[in-house]
Order: sequence, then structure tokens, then C-alpha cells
Amino acid sequence: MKSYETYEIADFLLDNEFVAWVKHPTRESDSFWQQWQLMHPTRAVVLQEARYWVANLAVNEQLPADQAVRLAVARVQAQLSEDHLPFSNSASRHWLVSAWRIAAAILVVLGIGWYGLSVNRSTSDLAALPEKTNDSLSRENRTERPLSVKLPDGSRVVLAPNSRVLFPAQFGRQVRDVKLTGDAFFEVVRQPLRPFIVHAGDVNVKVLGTSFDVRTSGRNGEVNVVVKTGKVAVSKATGVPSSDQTAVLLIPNQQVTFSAQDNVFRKTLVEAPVLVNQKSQETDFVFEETPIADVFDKLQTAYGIQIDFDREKLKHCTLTARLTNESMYKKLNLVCQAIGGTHETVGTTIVIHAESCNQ
Amino acid sequence: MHLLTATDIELWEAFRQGDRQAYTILMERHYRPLYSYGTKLVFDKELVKDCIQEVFLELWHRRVAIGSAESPRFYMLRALQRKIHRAIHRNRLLYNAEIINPDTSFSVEFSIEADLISRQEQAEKARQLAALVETLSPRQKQLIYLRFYQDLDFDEIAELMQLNRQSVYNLLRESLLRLRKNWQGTLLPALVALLEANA
Repeated sequence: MKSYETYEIADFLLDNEFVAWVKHPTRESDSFWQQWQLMHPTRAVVLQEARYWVANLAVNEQLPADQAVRLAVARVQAQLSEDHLPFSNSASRHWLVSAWRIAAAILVVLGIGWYGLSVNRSTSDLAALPEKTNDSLSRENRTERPLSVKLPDGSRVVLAPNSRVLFPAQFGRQVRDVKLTGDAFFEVVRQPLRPFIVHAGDVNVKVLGTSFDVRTSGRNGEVNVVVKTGKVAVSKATGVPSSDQTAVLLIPNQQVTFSAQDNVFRKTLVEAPVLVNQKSQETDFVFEETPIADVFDKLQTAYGIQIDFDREKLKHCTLTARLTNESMYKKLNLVCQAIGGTHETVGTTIVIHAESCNQ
Repeated sequence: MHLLTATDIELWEAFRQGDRQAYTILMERHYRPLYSYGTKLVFDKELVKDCIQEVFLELWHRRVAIGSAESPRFYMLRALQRKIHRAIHRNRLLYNAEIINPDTSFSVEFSIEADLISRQEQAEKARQLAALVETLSPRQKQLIYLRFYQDLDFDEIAELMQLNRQSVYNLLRESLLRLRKNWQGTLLPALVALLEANA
């Protein structure tokens, strides 16, 4: 028999029976501890504090809501039925049809993500002419409209006209390889442990994050990759795709162009960066006597782009402005105008040139 | 057996026999604790979600081979931990800032829920107590998290944290004693008052 009457708070907290009672009280444990408190009234307060601590210790965190949990579970079930396992699955595909309307606008490009996409499939299914070559399937879009093709893992490809995609009837366990000729838009069911790699022209594009676009139909065999969200690694097709040395990592609002002629990757910012930080809203860009460093920091976070400026030199500069509807570069123009400076894009970084402001 | 009120172990047994409903309930029941643990190990929430999905899928695929589990929760937490470690290792280029090291990187923030607390003064004391927990090392916090939040026993914690059972016990004791030094005189008088008021 344990001598609970000599227990201090820490001893109670280390005691399995005690913690089990607080966490999962049963009729037996309840009566035991009630009895014990009656018998040891002077120690009851120690026990009560220990109990209070165990019962009320919480973790500050945001957990998924019920809906999100159900969706996640539905995804598992959808995945299982993809794998042709005897698992019933009726309504679990709803999650795929999420709100990516913009997708239609960039159909000519190939993008990778796991967002849903609405395409006119009534015609596309007819237009898909599968050609079976050994174990791989080939689909070609000979229509004048985008064509939606489903991959064995549940991912989807929207092929631009005159484009063709080649993939195995069943993806391997380690990796999902797809070969693309022309342009396409991909929505990929993310499985980080089974990377999705698009072999496009002279480059390989590996999905590490959630979404990006690739354009392969440039002149002189140029391949262009634009990241929308998440991260991707782009490497030369001759290199090992997973090799860290040859891969160029892209984050949102960055793009890379690979030129087969000079055999180099050129990493730059996209022409019109978009807000990538979901917490940022257009209304965040209302400034009143705001220190200029805060303005630049806000822009950096919102667009996920590095802005280099001399914090010390510009410490007396402030901005009062409403920059709610402008593009990122328009915002930068206005900010620079206000402090009498200029900006320059060097690679993927924006550099601010400005003189210090009067106090 | 009514599935919704079944214990984890009952569900686990049914799931191993191929009961899809039991499998679904297990997933729904443990999704949040798994998500909670995963996001303490790595900041990338999408990676955590993907890894949980992988854990669930593998559970189903391997259900015949899986043994009975005393704690399905622990079984899944351990599987998730391994999965996340592997994913981070594979993509170490991306996660170089998030190398898993329990001494530095287990990120959890505690609070004391204020449901019992009616008076301002007592709320303040609960806040102080929570602040005290915050002064513990990441490893100590992880222990407290696994013991009191995830409800794991010492053996299970030892396996997850790759310590032996005695070290887990000692480390937890050390943490709690350190707290105790500071919490005497914080919550205690408030509780005495509460007890007297109820008496």
C-alpha cells in the first residue's frame, strides 16, 4: 500500500493511479480517492491542487475542426479505393472540388498542386484516346480544348491542346513518374513519401510543396517553372532528380527558366507577385505614419519576397498611404516615391535604394 | 459492441478483423491528438497531415500483420513520429531548420484552463503556473506533454523519446519538483479558499 499521506504535489503527479483517476475516473477510483480525502483531510488540499493541475493543463494550439477531420478521413478512404482495395467510398471525393477557379486561366501551363479544378469533362473524356504501350499509358489531347486526364493515384492532368502525357498504369511504390510533352496543368494528390516527378523537356520537376506551374513550350526548348504555393525542386533531366546539388529550389512568386542552349537555370521573381501569406489581406496595407521598415516587413511577409534595405539609414522614414488594390510592384513604386527612392530586382530579391529621411 | 462508445482497444481488435467502421472511428478519434503531436515535431502542417494520412493508409494495408495493441494511440503516435522523421530526413534541404532534436525543437505552449477559476486573482495564479511550465526545457515540456496531454505511460514515453524508463521518471520528477518549488504559495491558498467556500 502506498503511503499517499506523505505525498507532495509532484509525487501525486508522478503516480500512475492518481493520474489515471483524474484522466479517466471510474466508480472504483472515485470512491477510493473520496474515501482517502475524508481520511486525510489535511492532505486533501495537496491532492486537490495536483488534481487541478492535471485536469486543467492545456496546450495552446489550433486543432483541426470536425469538418477538417472528416475530410481528412474521407481522403484516406478515397485513397484506399484508388488502390483497388475493397473499401466503399461514395461521397469522399468532394474535397477535390475546392475553389480553384483561377485554374482555368492558367490551363496552358502545367501546375502542380492538390487543388480541385473544374474542367468540362463531358467532352474531354471522349477526346481522351488512350494508347496502351506495355505498362504505360499515353494520353494525347487532339482537341482544341483543355483535356482532363486522371492518373492512377487520383491526381489529375489537364492537357493543353497538342500536348501529351505518359504515365505507368500503376505508379511505383517509391516514386510517381510522369512524362510530359507540351503544356499541362497538374493537380497532384500529395504524398511526400512518394514524390511526384514530372519529366518535362530538359528538366525534372519534383513536388515538394503544393502547387506550381511549368511551361515547356517556350522557344529553343526553354522550360519555365513558376511556383504558386509551397516548394518545388527543379533539376536538369540528366541529373539525378533528388540530388540536392543539381536542384533549384523555388518558393512562391519565384520562377526559374532553364535554357537548354546555355544549360543554365535563371531564377527570378514572377512578373506579378501575388499575396502568398494567407493571413495577409489587402486591408493590411493601410499605413499611417508607419515606420518604413514596418512597411517593407509587411510586404516581405505578404508576398514572401526578400526586400533588402538599409534599416539604419531609413529609420526616420515613415509612410502614410492606402495601398489596398495595387499590385506588388505598384505598391513598391508608391512607397519608393514617398521616400524619394527607387527599387531594383536582383535575382529573387528586391533592393531598395534611398537616402535617409529628415528627422 | 456499439462502435461509437467502444474503447480504443475494442475498436482496434475490430479493425484488425477488417471492420471498416471501426477503422473510420479510430481515425476520427485520433486524428487531432496525432495532428497535435506532429505539429510539435515539425512546423509544416501540410507535411503532418500527409504523414497522418500515410500512417492511416499503412494501418489498413497492414491490418492483418499488426498485432494487438495495448494502446492504439501510442501505436499511431510512434508510427507518425517515424514517418515525420523519415520525411524530414528525405527533404532535409527544405527542413534544415527543423531538424528533430528534442532538446531544442519540441515546440509546445501550455496554459491552465480557467474553467474552475471564477475570481480574477485565481485566474492570475493559473496564469503564473502556466508561465512556470513555460520555463522548462523543451525536453521537459515534451515529457509533460506526452504524459499529461497525450496520456502515455512511462514506457511509452521512453520509447518515443529514446530514453530509458528510469530517465523518463527522473526527468519528469525533476521538472515537477522544479515547478513545485515555485508553485507553493501560488495556487494553494486559492484552492484552500475554494475548498472552504464549498465546505
